[in-house]
Amino acid sequence: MNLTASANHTLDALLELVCVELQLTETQDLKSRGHYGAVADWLSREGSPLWGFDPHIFPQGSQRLGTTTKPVGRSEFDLDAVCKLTASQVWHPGELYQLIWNRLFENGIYRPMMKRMPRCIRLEYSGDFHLDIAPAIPDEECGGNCILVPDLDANLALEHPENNLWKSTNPQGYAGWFEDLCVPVWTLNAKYARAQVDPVPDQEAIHAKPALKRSVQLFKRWRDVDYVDRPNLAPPSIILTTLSGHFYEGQQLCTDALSSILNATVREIETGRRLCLTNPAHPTENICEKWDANPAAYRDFCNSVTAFLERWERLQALRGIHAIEQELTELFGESPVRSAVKAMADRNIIQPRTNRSLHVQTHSGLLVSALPSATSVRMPSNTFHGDEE
Amino acid sequence: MIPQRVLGLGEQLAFLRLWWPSYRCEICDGTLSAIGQLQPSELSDTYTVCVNQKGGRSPEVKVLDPELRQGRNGEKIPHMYSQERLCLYLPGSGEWKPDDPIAHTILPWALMWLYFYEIWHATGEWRGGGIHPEINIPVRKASYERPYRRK
Repeated sequence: MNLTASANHTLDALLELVCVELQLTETQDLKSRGHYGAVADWLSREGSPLWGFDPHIFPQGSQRLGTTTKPVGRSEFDLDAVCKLTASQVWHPGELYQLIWNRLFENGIYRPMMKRMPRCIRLEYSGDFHLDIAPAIPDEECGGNCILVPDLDANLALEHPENNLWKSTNPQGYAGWFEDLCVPVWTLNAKYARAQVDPVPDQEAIHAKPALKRSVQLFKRWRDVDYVDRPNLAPPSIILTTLSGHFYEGQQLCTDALSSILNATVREIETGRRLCLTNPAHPTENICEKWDANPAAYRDFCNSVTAFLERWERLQALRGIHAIEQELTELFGESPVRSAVKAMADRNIIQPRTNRSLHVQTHSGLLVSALPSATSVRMPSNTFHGDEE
Repeated sequence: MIPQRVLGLGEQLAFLRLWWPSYRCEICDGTLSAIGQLQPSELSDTYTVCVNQKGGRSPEVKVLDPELRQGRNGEKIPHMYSQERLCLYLPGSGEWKPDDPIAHTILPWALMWLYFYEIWHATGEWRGGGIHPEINIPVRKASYERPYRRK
């Protein structure tokens, strides 16, 4: 009697624990929130040269979406934020960049941490954290929440007349699109007098994290592990997240959700048309730039995601915790999987055994944590013994 | 002195049939044998297990299929006698007595042992606790107070 009826629930519970391991730890979460809050306050407080431009500071990217994954083999983590200034004039991108740069530079703490990046200012904190702040102004042509972010050539001076590229994007709209698929839980801080600082959304308790978010975490983690020896070909997170959003069908279980996402992705690939994705909140923002520039990266993704689908389906039919652990380790890496298996054993068997609530369900023959009933046998206490070692 | 009560093979068999109806049980030449399957959790493999007991003696438990494997680096499987039979309780400790139904003790423990066996393969750690004697002395009643190491 090989039980399979509820195995996806159990596998899902194990994957939930893997996702817990992939999230920021509470310490990392508090640290990133603290740094974000301090920088946001410095940029937007009354008296700041930015004050007159109604600064609006908000998080973007995976922390905003609730889809963070720890990097493979490193403890580094980051937070992406936007500092949007309301400007009525036509700005030069370098000028905007310089304005925010100067404000940060005024602060003796931030000065030594600043690093110029093409689309953001990076603050490198000692240890394992960096905060990316993208300067932005509203994109009046696109309207809504669309913004323009400088897209600067690092080899030219910031305010060089030819260094004048903007990139139009819509991270707020994107986050809204994604959250709507997941049932959103948003809270906003009280506004400052003129400035607005949106908090980093709380990390959801993992059991409250929608299946879509967990699926994205696992999809990204698979990418990190699978592409560890060819990172230049790895598909960007925005592509994996957008594919997931498009192909998610409202499943409650992450196993089912990711199956649906992977199946639909592979079906699309098999039509022979190249996948083309835009930001759902910005119809002209191409998020597949990487594949336009590097067709080999697209071909690699097609092969790799097809192989992932095969393994994902095989995983769901596997039995034997050790066999499942091995397969999950190959997909998502040893560290989070091993910790998750230990946590599962603790929760399902070791703790119930200790507090005497471990039973054998007579109709299924399974170990369960339950109240005594006519249909279960309570596990008597025992001490495993053995030969000398 | 009150003689220790012993559950007869017929009684053991009746308990097994009641609680583990899918098990094939028989008494032959004074030995009770029960063969059936155990699957500790939905994610676990399904194991064919055989329990043999000669009247009143300690039941012997073997896994027939799939074959139990040693660790990745050849480590012995913990908590077995001669890498053949499962060691499910401490002899002489009263954890198992001849009047305890196998159906309520030995088989639940075997189920739990199999769960920890899979976790051992998955993580390299035996998470089920227990005792292994450190020196090569025969295990007798009350000998559990001799130098053992808790895992």
